[in-house]
Amino acid sequence: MTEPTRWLEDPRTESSLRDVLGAASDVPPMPAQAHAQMTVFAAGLAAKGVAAQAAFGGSTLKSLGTFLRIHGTGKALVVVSTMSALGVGSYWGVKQYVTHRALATHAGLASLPSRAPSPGLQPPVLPTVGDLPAVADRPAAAEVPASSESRSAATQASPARTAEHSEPAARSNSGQSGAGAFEELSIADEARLLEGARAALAIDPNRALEIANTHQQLYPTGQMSAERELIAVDALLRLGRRTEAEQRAAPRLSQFPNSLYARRLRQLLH
Amino acid sequence: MTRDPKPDESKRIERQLDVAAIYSEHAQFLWKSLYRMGVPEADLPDALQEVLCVVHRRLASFDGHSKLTTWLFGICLRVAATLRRGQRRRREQPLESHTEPSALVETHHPERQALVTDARRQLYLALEALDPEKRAVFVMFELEGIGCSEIATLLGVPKGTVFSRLSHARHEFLEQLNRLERREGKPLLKLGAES
Repeated sequence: MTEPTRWLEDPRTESSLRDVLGAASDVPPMPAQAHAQMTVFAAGLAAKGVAAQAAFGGSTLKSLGTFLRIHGTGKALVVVSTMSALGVGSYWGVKQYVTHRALATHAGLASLPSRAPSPGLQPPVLPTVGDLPAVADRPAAAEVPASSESRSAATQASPARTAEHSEPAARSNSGQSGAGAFEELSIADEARLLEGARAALAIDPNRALEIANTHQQLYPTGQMSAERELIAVDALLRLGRRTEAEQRAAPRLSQFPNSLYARRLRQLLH
Repeated sequence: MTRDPKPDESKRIERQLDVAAIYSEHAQFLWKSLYRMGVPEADLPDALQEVLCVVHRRLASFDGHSKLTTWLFGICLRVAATLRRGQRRRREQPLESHTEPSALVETHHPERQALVTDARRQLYLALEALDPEKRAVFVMFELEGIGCSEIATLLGVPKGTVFSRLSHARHEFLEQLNRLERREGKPLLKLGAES
């Protein structure tokens, strides 16, 4: 059997038919906010995969061995706890909160397998982010010996939680779905985006840097730009790009030399 | 603070295979594919999220025998089909898509229609007339440029079935376009373009 010629590659195809087929490239662009949300979501999923491999073996000892060689035993524990505390679990709540009408509610999707790859990491079913327990979600973090990563993550989690708590509860009842629900920009949106970056930091600094740069594009004068720059500098250092890290930190260090963020930047850089 | 001077090989491989890297690389492709398979614009973010979940879950099963984009398109296809089946089942809500066939005779959303080009409207109305199996083959072959062998592998059907579906899909697509053009008083397309 010979492969047919595609209409668009066939000289006999009429121009009007070409026009119709050519219109396939005319697709509405993805809203920037939806893209940002999906970037965070994908980063959360990816981070969860690595954390799950490290925690539960999965396919498995090899992955765990690789993971520990990269990050060190102590760090693996920190990462698992940090994921559960920051990046993974809460994002499910965030997503449910933002997209009121989730796909899972469609009757046809009931047959799809569970979204969570491991029963041990089932996403919590939370009605709103505002209802996220502030401490109960983080027992593992409390048990992990203090390290700069865990302390940093715990400290940085606070603004996000505060922001999410401060968001009007009415939004969860808006009944919006899809792109419309992503259109509102707020500090809570910024916080969610950076939460994803923080979650990725220890596992995939490249991803953390990408998310920080996405934040910079979306919120060039955002209220959490200092937080973002801190993540970006940390990510650059983890990637061994010290010169870029120093260049990125320089403006903030000179503009706000006595700020808390400047002190944290200096700690990172030295 | 100890830093790795540069990511080692195992980290690089891990990155290649993770859903975040795939999304970063193929976000527009996934969005576009879901749209072409008839997911209404308002449902695209949810559908995309579902695709990412499936990609994450099934990444280990991707063996590299097909192109990554073909594999991703297969996932979009199934998510879109499931979504649309779900829409049909929910009798309280009429089937909705970016084509809105009813808008041909009754303009319920003039402001939205104004944004849709004539060719695009025709394309999606004609695609809408195809059943999901034929639509999948038609979109993959004509719009995505995926070869028949890859389509057959992706759908798990013999290559002959792909040819047959494509042939039927082309006929029906042209018939639908001609129906639309008759209604709008335009010259008819000939079936001669079909090979």
